[in-house]
Order: sequence, then structure tokens, then C-alpha cells
Amino acid sequence: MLKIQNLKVNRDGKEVLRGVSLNIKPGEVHILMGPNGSGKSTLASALMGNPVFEVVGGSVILDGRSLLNLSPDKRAKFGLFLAFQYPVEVSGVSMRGFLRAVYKELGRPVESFNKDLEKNLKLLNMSSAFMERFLNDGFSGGEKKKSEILQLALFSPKYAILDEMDSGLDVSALKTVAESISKIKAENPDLGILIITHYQRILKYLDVDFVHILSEGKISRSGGRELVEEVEEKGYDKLKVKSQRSKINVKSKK
Amino acid sequence: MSKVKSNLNLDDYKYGFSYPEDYVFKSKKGLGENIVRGISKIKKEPLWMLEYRLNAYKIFLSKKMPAWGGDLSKIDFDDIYYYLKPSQGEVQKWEDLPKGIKATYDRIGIPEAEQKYLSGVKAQYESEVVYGSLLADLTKKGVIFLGMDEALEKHSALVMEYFGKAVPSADNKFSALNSAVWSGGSFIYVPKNVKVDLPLQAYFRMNAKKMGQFERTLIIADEGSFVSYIEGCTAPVYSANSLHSAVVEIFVKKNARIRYTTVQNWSKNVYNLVTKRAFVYENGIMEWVDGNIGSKLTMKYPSIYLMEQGAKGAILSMAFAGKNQHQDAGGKAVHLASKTSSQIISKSISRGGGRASYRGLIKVANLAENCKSNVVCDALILDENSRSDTYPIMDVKGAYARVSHEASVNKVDEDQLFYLTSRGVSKHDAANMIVNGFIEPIVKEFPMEYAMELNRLISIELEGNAKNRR
Amino acid sequence: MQKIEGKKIKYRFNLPNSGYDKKLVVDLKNKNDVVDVRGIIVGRGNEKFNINIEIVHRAKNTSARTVVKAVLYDSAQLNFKGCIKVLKGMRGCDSFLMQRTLVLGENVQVNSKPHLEIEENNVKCSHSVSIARPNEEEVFYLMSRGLSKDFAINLIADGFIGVRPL
Repeated sequence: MLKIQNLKVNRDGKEVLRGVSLNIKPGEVHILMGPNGSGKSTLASALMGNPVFEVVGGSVILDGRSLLNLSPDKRAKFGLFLAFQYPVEVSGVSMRGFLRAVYKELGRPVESFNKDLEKNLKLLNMSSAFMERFLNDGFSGGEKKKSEILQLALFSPKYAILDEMDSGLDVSALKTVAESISKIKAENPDLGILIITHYQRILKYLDVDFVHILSEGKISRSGGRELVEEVEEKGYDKLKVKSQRSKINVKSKK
Repeated sequence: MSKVKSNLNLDDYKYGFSYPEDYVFKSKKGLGENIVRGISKIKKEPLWMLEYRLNAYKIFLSKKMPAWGGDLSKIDFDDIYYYLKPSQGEVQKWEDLPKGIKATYDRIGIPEAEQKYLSGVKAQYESEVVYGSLLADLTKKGVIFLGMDEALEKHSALVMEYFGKAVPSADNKFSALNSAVWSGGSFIYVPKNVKVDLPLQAYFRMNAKKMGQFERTLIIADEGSFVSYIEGCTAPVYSANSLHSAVVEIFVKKNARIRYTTVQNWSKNVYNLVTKRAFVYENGIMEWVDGNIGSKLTMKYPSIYLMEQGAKGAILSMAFAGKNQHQDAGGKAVHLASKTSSQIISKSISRGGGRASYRGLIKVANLAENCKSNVVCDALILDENSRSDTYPIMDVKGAYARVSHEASVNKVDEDQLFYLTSRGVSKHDAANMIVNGFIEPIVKEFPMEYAMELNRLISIELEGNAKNRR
Repeated sequence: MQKIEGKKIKYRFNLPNSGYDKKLVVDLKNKNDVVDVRGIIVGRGNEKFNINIEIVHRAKNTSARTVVKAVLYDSAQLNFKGCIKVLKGMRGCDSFLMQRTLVLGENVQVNSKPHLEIEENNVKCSHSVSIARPNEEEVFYLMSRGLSKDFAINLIADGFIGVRPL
């Protein structure tokens, strides 16, 4: 389980996350929604250990291991993966070379790299021409998302955080991304996923177990799919008001 | 009354006129210790200033001429007047200015500007402050805006605290010269947290033959304050050489901000050798906006010394070098503290055989960490007789520094010309538009009247260029 | 000092493999000459590099592209001077010089002087210099994939120079 308890995170001395608690079991798909500025991307970055953020309280335990005092590469080695909202471009580093280096670092057998890569390229309908380009260098928005998804598939983490995979994508691209995530999940049924999103569109194409609303640095509501429809209807403000009165935790099966 | 005739010819332009010399006192030509003493005596200066001048004079004699930059070989120090005092003492009201002097400013167009823009004006006529008017509320707030001479008299201790601290006499040969024979210039002190909304201005011009201009300006913005200062000058045309060697020292204290704007349009026989330096303290901001259009040779590199954390500086420089002109300009940013940042933007145009050079320095000291600096210099050469140089230096020692510099030299783009002319614009007007568009990022930082004047002056210069080519 | 003349020349240098100093004069004296200069420097410890490159366009329609990249560790030092000169009358010249330094050590010192001396207007000349550390976001991204900090930085350095890893 990925257990996040009362996580408090600051940036430049200002409070962003004020005590976030969330548990993700193997195989579960969670959605985190929230208005702009609620701290969604901060949560993603802080979980991965981005030095720009200061964790000032709480804990993050992955399968019994505490992550907070570990550097990002160690967290990756324990099985955490972050798909960035704005993947950074690293020019001069080829996709193929980079993927192989990481594959090796994560302890996978180097001999099976090429086969594994081909398999995933096929699964995700991606051309191998991609591999000769430089890491995210000059990639369009859609291509950058694909690069992240490919890495998710290839590195088989235990828990993945997908930070706004759907931003900037048109309907057909969105569908492709969602289908890819489903396929990856099918190949790795134990993969626990936290999808951070601003829109409910992606839910049309994905099965989801839990939905959480992040508001002003805290999770204000949790529920099932129907929570998303409520958000769409009433907007975040009304829900916040409601959360002060109603109880939390409505689980629903897919 | 002698008047220079005005044809629409390259060397005669609307500011090429002069008035009969109307002086009570005129010093002898040439420089000597007696001249330095004489200047100090006439001004009735405190002893410390006399000693300062004498010491500076010794330094001037011992220093060599710079071996780089423009051609200074034709300057004859013995062939210049170092001090002239006009017949009038200071006046407080516009109407009380002597006729000749008033007419000069009318011609340039100051009265309108005075109404709209100015908080106070110190007009320099032949090295002396003649006119000044400080608005009542500025005085109430504790803002001091005086001619340097008057400031030395009324606020001697304050002046002594800062005078020569940014630009010491020994800095270079010309700062030494200025320190010895300086006269006139502005002194501004803005108290803590006072923001002066209207820009303070100064106008001055040279009139007498072989006049040397050695004004000294000192501006201090105390913590949290803001002031903007504008200096724009014109000078008549003479065949003999003129020397202008000013020193400007600026202190921007914690959280304060100063913007210093200059339009220099000296006639083309003037050597304009200026030392301008600002010290910026914690979170302070300094902005130099520098327009160089006139003079035979200008050597001027406004500098910013970033002394404490969070200090920021920007230098926006524009240079136009026409026939027989050499503009050697640029800027320096010296990072002496961590987390400081600087930016330099330079745009230059050379034509008709002119030469525009950018000379700059970005220095990040050893202990200054996490500093950022960005320099962009673009040059436009309008014909095959002109020249453009770029001489930047990046000297980076501090850790975690991010420094970048880009420069380019181009001609007027043929495609752009074609596009504009295909819309019915004459080739001359098209070139005009393109050139003005090129300098727009700097020109837009000038107050509107200056911006318009700049655009107009450049059009006149370009016209001259077009005429010469036919 | 090394002098090379145009036609169509590619010139490469690699320091410290060939010493710590390099003085190079590129003389483009025939119409349509083309030169491509690439230099790579990797400095460690207290190594000091002095580089002086002069690109002189003495004929019409000549073009040059000069790229010098340095990766400096520890207390290495680079003194770089690169001058592009276009003489009067040499129309149609095209010259570009880039000098980039990736700083990977705490006591690295860089002094870079790119100069331009252009006496002809019908040309296209430019230069660009940058001195920086690896981007923090880049390092974080690579580390988030399980690469150690050193590995990440070396990967970035290799990419910076243009060497393909593995």
C-alpha cells in the first residue's frame, strides 16, 4: 500500500498542503481532482521528492518503507513512478539510451530490454522512430505524454502518479492515453495508480475506484465515481461548503 | 549676433545654433593647479573639497590615457576652458531667466515640457546652475534636488558622505579630471520610503568655444524610495574640439529604486567621456536608460555594482553612429553578492561611415552565488562604409551562476523592405520604419517627448544618409 | 597556433586530449569558403584551458560556424576568446559562434570574450555565450526515474557535448 498520512508541504515558506491523507492499495485506481491552486501538482512533486518543496509534517510509506527521507532516485527504485505534467526536455540524450540506462538502474535484466521495449511500443501503438530522438526534445505536448506513458509501461513501478495526463489533449488523444493506461493496468494488475486531473473527461474511458477532491491543501471529500458528476454539476465551491457538513467515504465498485 | 546657418545638411541640424557669450567671468584656457584653486575659490567651497580637487588633479597628471576604446589622440588638454560662469545667479522662476538663455530653451521646446512633466528643473548654462525650482511638496517630504554647488554649500556633510565613493578620483584619467575641475550637475537625495512620481530633469548646453563640461551628479535613494531622473542635452556645432567629461554616482539603498535616463545629442565635435556608476544594496533596483546620438566620440559604460543580496540592475543602451562618429558604449554589471541579477540590452545603428561599438562586462565574483545575467546586443549596419563591433566579457567565478549573452549584426532585411514597399511605402520611409522598429524596445523606455524626439532625430540622420547616396 | 584556410573544412578539437591551450586562426580568403569548427573541452581538478579563436572573413560569401562546448568540474578554469572579423567589402558573409559552458564544480571559473568586428553591412553575424549549471528540473526528472544524481548529471553532460550514451 502507498500510505500518505497527514502530509504537510510548503513552498518558499508558504503552506500548500495542509495535511493530506490518502491510501492506495495495489491494483486500485484513484482520482484526485481540485480547483487550480489547490495543490494537486504539489502533491505529485512532493511525493517524488522534488527539492523545491519542503515537507514539514506527515509521512509517506510505500509497502512498509518510509519515503520522505529518500532522494528521488531511491524512491523510484522502491517502485514509485511520476508521469510529469510538463516533462522536461533533455537535449543530447537519446530516448533509447536513456530508457536502457534507467531499465538497468531499476534492476531489470539488460538482455530483455530490446524485447520489452518493442512489446510496449506495440502495446501503445508507438513507432520506434521515437527512439532515435532526444529525450522529450522538441516533442509536441501529445508526444511528451506518450513518452511518459511509455516509461510507465517499461519500468513497471508498483505505484504510479499521473500528473494531469489529460491537460492539453484533444478528445482522440485523450482516448488514446486512457486506453494506454488501461492496457498497462491489464498487464500489471497490481499497479496502484493516482490520477491527478482537472477534468472528468478521462473517466469516460477508465475504470476508477475512488475519487478525492483536494481543496485548499486538504482532501475535502472522498467518494466513488458519482462524486465526479457532482463536481461537474455543482462546481468545486458548493462541494467545499457541503464537505463541512457531510461525512466522507462512500466506496463503490467499478 | 552670430548664428550658424542652417541648411538641411548632415552637419547642420536644428540644434546647431549659438548665442553671444554673456559671461562675467571666463577662466583662462588650459589646466593648472591655479585654475583648480580658482574654481574652488569662486564657488566658496569648504576646505575638504579644495583638497579633494587638488588631489584629483595630481592623479589626473599621473594617469595614462586609456589604450582601448576610441581615438583620443586629438584631445589637447591645454586648449580648453575649464570654467565659465554666466552673468546670472540662480533664478527661481521661469520668467526670470535671461533672454538669451530663455530663447535657447524655447527653441528646444522646454516650456511645454516644463508644464507637463517636470517636478523641478536645474538648467546648466556654461557650467553653472542658473535655474532651479523645486516643487513645494517635494521639499516638504524632505527631497533634496539642488545643483551640486548649492548642495555642497547647504548639505556639506551629506555630500561628503557620498562624494567620490562610487567613482573615486583614481578610477580613470577622466574621473580624475572631473574630480579636479567639476562644476554644476545635480544633487538629489530622497528620504526613506518617499516615492517621487514625476521625473526630475536637467538640461544643459555648452556655448563658448572650447568649453569643457565637467558636471558632477550625485543621487541617493534612501531605503524604500523611488526617483526617476532624466538628462537630455544638446550643443551647438563648432569646428574646434570640445570635451565633456562627466561623473555620475548613484546609491540605491535597500528596497529602493532609481531610473536614470539620458539622451545625449552633443554636436559632432564633442568628446563625450563619461563615468557613470551605481551601487545597489539589498533588493534595490537600478535602471540605466541611455540614448547616444551625438558627439564625435562617446565612451560611456553605465555600471551597476550589485553589492547585497537581491539587488537587481538593468542597462538599456541605444547608440546611433553617423558620419565621423564613434559610439563606444555599453555597460557593466558586477555581481558582488549572491542572488543578484542583471540585464543589458544594447541596440546600435551605424551608417555613413560611422562606427558603433558595444563594450560590456559581466563579472560574477567568487562569493556571489546563484547570480543571473542576460545580455542581448543587436547591431544594424546600414551601408558598406560603416562598422560595428562587439566586445563583451563574461568573467564568472561564483557558483551556481547563470550567465548568457547573445549578439548579432545585420543589415536592414531585404524581405522586410520589399514587403513595406510593396504596400506603397517609399524605400526611404520603409527603411525609417524598420530602423525605428529595431530600436523600439529601448525607445519605449524613454518618456514620450524624448521618444518622439529620438525618432525624429534618427529620421533626420537617415535622410542625410539617403541624400548622400544619391 | 594553428592556421586553417577554407574551401570546405571541418575542424574539430578535443581538450585536454590535445593539450590545454588552443590558438586557432581561420582565414576565409576564397569566395564561397565554408568552415565548421567544433571544440569540446572537459576539465577537471585544477586544469586551466586557454582558447583563442579568430575567424576572419576576407572574401565574399564565406561562411563559418564555430561551436565550443565545455564541461568543467571541480576547480577547472576556462579562458575563452573568440573573434569574428568581417573585412570591408566582404558581402554575403555568414558567421556564427557559440560558446557554452556547463558548470559542474563549485570552484569553476570562466572568462569568456566573444568579439565581433564587422566592417560590411551585407552580412549575417551573431554569437552566443552561456554559462550555467544543469537545470534542476532536468536533474529531478532523471532522478525520479531511478538514476542517481551523479548518473543524471553525467547523462546531462554527455547530452550537452553531443556524445550519445551507450
